[in-house]
Amino acid sequence: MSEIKIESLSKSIKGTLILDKVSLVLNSGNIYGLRGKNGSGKTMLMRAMSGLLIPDTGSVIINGKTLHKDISFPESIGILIENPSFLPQYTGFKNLKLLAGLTGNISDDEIRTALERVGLDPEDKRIYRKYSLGMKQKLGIANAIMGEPDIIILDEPINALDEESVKKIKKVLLEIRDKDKLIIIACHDREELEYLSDIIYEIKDGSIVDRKEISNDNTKTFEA
Amino acid sequence: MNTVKFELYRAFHSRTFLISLIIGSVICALDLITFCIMVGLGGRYLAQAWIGTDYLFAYNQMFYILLPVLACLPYGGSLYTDIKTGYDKNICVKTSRLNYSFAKSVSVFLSGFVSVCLPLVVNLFIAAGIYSNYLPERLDATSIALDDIYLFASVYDKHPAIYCLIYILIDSLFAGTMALTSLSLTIKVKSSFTAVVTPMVLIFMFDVFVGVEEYGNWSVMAMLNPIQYMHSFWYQLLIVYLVIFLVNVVVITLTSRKRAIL
Repeated sequence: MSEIKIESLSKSIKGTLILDKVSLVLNSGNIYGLRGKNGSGKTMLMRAMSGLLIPDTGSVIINGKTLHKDISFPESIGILIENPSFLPQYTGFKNLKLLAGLTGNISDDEIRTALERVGLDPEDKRIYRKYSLGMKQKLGIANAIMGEPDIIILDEPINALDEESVKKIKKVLLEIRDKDKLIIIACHDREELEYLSDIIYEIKDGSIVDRKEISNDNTKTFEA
Repeated sequence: MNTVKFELYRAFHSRTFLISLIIGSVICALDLITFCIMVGLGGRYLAQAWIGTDYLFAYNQMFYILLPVLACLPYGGSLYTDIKTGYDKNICVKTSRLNYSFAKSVSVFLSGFVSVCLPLVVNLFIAAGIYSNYLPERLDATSIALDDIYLFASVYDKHPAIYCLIYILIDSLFAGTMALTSLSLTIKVKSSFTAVVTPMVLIFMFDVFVGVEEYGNWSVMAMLNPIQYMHSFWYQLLIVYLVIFLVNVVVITLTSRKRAIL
């Protein structure tokens, strides 16, 4: 059971206000969608929730612990924010294995499972540099979901993916949500976002301007 | 500890580490080959043949001029690359910024240390396999002439191989610290290349400044060269090392704490 509580979060970068007194409460077992124009602050809000951005004022509280005060980073989180980035000289599996080594609590089997779930072959010997755009994106998603962390943050996860892969990713995300995980997604595709999300927040000029509940039925499952 | 292991793995498996080792080793090999061909195999001894104390050919100068680059090249530009590609995001959601900085610093320091230490040690060992460790003759002008006031002069007279090893340690420690300089410059520079090359430029500028001001024995390049063409005192060596090291540690710690990971 995870909860992210954002209290009056503001952040300016080089004099420009990018997040303006954002307050939100996000609970596990839901997929939250973030919608807004380019530059509205979606990605920055995701960064702040991941602990990558230090707020000027306000706070991000994860399971009762304040980021940058009680904890330096969320204890169990997987992210794909903007473009996926990995070491170009290693295979997908090797890349994930290296990153999994940072926490030490994700097994090789869990890495293989994550790769297979997004449609990548764990035994593929091609190095990351040789990957197509879609494969890179899938590896980014696999990195975010490996070990099924309590919080998953995905910025434009279906970018560069073919229709088949989009279906697969949607299925995986709904499965993970049903395991009482908290998922936050930003997506420009209105239809896909509404399909996946339980609640959608509209962001404009760094502020939350609207909240839309898509479905109260928490048992929404994937329809192939 | 996991983060340190992760960064060490990256540092010592990087292509730049290999390139740096190759450059250093080639210079050292060329020096020894030239020495063997030009000077011959007989009647010479280890303290004349080792690149650090061999003043006959330009390879000594070449190695010590390039030392800051050899030190920074392996992993000094890696933080810049991590930031530019967004790879640091993958790491900073799994460990704290300070941990990441510490791990990065340790691996940058060690990669700089090894990339300078290894060519010098290998050169010394190969030279020791060819030439005997006879005591250097002060008056025949075939080896560096260290008066008693020079650093480790008595060690050089009595145990020349130990003198070489002491300087390998000093050079390697400085190399590690110079590599840290490229790390602390990362936030301010605009390319990985600049991060790697700037420490060398800064050292040159400092050396020119102290040379102009007639304080040449504060020159970093002079301090590091076992030939000791300037007479520096041990405390100068220590002060310069500590200042570079501590400034780097403070800058790295301060910048990493508050840095937004975009």
